[in-house]
Amino acid sequence: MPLPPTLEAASRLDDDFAQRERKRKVEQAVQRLPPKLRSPIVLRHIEGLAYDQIARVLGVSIGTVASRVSRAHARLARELKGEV
Amino acid sequence: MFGHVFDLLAAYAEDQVDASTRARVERHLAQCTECRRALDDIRTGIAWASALTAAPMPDDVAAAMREWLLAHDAGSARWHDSIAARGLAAAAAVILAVGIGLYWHVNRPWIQLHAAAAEPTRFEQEGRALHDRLRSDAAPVAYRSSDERARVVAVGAAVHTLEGVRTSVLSYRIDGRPVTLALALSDEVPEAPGARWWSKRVGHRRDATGASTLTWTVGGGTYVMVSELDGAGQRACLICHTTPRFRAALERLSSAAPLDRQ
Repeated sequence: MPLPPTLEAASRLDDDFAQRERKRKVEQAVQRLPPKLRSPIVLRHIEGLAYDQIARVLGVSIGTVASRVSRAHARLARELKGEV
Repeated sequence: MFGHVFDLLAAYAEDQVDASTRARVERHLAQCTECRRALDDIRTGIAWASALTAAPMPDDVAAAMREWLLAHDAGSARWHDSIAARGLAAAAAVILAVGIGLYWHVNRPWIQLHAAAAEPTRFEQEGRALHDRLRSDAAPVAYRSSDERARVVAVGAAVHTLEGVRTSVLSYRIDGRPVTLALALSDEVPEAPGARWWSKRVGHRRDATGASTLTWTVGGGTYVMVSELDGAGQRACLICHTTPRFRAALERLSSAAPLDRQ
């Protein structure tokens, strides 16, 4: 059964708030990453670069990029566990 | 277990590996609980990180930067004895050029960071020395914002002479760390790093004080950027790349004529 309009609007606001809050926590967790792990994450997920492009921009090998991206994602998951 | 594949797991999850690596990872995953658990974590991390979007430059910061650049005329600040109205225009052009230049840098895959030449050019040396002078006599932070994303703060803009060449200089801070950026016309700079119109070569050196100096030539301009940022100082690049509204604000600032010859 659909919610009455007022409740539906309130529910939508709650969802918006929760979504913003989640995003804020993810951003904060990324900010807490050491620069070596943060840079590839930013280049990957905000700039949308492929791993070989990230390697060229940062002047490191593609293997190093892969390793750092793995470590960064694993750390994000650990830090955000139960938080978002 | 022998031969863990942790380092490859993000690349595997994001389909950034070739077929043989994929097969190797899958063979290992089939027999390794630890790596399967790590893969789950990494997939969760990827899902969270995928929600990231570029942080916009807050309006108050863009407005304050514009106000600062427009308000500081000749002699109004401690190290501004050489500043002039056209210096402001040139500095705005520097900011724009940097935004565009850095965007170019990231999106041109053939551009790589090279070791700097064995001996720094005089232009590079003087840029480095200028950074120390500005740093020791830097104006206080021009403004603050309650927004924690406001990580770039303009400190000053001026025209200086480096190696006898008229140079636009911009001083700013990223996360509180001073950055000095100087730009001159490359055909006026002796020993400017070589570049063709479609490419550039970036030299990088870090000295004993921890300061990182990048020099490059692109689009007819030769740049020196000195900072104490981590890595090669490319954090400055990341900020320009990840804040489209920052770039837009800089473009708005550059309505005046670009750096020209005297």
